[in-house]
Amino acid sequence: MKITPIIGLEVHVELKTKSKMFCSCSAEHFHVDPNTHTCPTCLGLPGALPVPNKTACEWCIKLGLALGCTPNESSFFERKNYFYPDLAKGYQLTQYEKPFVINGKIKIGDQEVRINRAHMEEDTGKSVHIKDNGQELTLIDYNRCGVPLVEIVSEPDITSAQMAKDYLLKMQQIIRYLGISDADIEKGSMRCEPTVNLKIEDNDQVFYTPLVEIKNVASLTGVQTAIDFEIHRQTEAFKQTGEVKSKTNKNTFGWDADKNQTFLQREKEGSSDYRYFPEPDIPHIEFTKEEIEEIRKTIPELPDGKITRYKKDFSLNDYDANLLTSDIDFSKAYELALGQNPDSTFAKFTANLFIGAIKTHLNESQENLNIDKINSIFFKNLFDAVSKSEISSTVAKQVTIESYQTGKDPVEIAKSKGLIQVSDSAEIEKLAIGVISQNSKAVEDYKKNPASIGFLIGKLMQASKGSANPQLAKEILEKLLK
Amino acid sequence: MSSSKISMLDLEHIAKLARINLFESEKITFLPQLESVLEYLDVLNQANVENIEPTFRVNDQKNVLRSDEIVDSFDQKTALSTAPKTQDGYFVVPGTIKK
Ligand SMILES: [Zn+2]
Repeated sequence: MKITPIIGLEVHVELKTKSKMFCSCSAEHFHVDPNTHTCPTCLGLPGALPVPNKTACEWCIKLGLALGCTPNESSFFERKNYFYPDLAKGYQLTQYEKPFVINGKIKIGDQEVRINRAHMEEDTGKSVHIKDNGQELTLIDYNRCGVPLVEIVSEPDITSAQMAKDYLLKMQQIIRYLGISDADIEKGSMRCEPTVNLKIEDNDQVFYTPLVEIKNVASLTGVQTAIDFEIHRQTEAFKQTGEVKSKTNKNTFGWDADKNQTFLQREKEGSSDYRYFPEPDIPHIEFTKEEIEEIRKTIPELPDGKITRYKKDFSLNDYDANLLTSDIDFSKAYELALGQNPDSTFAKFTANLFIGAIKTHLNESQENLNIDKINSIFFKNLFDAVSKSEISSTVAKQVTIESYQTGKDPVEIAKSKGLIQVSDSAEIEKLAIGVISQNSKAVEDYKKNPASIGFLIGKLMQASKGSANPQLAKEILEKLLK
Repeated sequence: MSSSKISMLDLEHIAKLARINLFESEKITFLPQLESVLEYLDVLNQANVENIEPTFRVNDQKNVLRSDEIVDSFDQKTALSTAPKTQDGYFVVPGTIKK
């Protein structure tokens, strides 16, 4: 029996526009007093008219273009009707028949996941469930109701939980590069609903298990564990019941992060139950080809392009190129440090400092990168000093962090701390003569066994307080003891 | 649907979507009423709409958009002023999670 998981992902991303999608209320809803960012439109009061936020529409298209999608010539909003208290109007404004963009793809390693569509819609309010004198009550805050939301729907091209995770990370990275959302899964500005079923091949027969949509996954690990759980559950269910996919047996399961298991949540309303129909109060939206090209121009160089360029122009390896481009600000800082037309030795040197010193420092201190603290000249000075063996690579990392923190030239820092390597032969020779005269026993040992020179080098380094260039020290000692 | 007849199951399904609980007696009253509404609208099905683009609205407006700017919202008191029940700045509704 051969089992292949078939996984599609619906990703919701909250855009960080200033105002909401269809009204001018502030879109801020974190740490804000409940129901202080509402108006007749987002409260669904009678007669209120929705007017779409132009920036949000443009950002949805921008994301689509970054994912290789094609914009629809004409788009419109539709009402998705369902009754739930977190949605005051009784319907969600979304795009159904004509989303802003369709048919894209995203590269995951050497595999490709097709994107079906990315459409614009609005978020719902937040619910808090409480118990009051034994009565279950729900408290509603409409500050989030009407915040712009983009939904990105993939084709079911994902074949494992790991690949789903990689897809989300890549999506998150692209969205952050575009600067249109924080795309923070833990904070809820990026949410994901996997749909999972299995293709089971057994003695020339092929079966497909019923589709399951998983809701309430609130972390990246949650997505992975939930999908793995569901693959296992469906395999076992198929072995027991043999039930296969039909038009009517798609189910919605919730994810219980405490118990690490999925549970049947509700029978899903079919799309006909939502009774979609065009929103009569919002005219069609058509972006001209010129406007689309203007939007395309605002897309920065994306991670895939950067990685290829770093490998080609700077001879960086795949690992380093990936690390440097993981975050757009980090890669910007790296490029700033490189200055104009860097050669590949300098680029590699600087890459090591960014990964080995700056990134480590930021991770340990939990600070955000401050690009203003990056000075190209400092990196150049440090590179020259290391090339001339005045500074060891260990010291270079140390002074890079200090330079980042203080804004001082790293070479000056090394000088002031006595961390400059002495590469002056005369000076080292003076120290070497002293070491030889004070360690006659070790000199005898060396004459019997030249490998024991390490002891004398150590003594010389000690005498120089660690500043001697060890290679030069070795050479001079060998010369004197010949 | 070509026929306007709807079944009791359809009626119950629609009521469920609208989150309305109906008594049996009400269902019996409403079923023929709903049917007559649909029959009335059935006249639309007689029109030949082949090769005709759907009309979404009667004027030819498009691209009515606003720039991304914040305008003052309701204060909390005003926002909650028509709610039957509130608590700590929230609207209060019957519990929505079923156990
Ligand atoms: Zn509003």
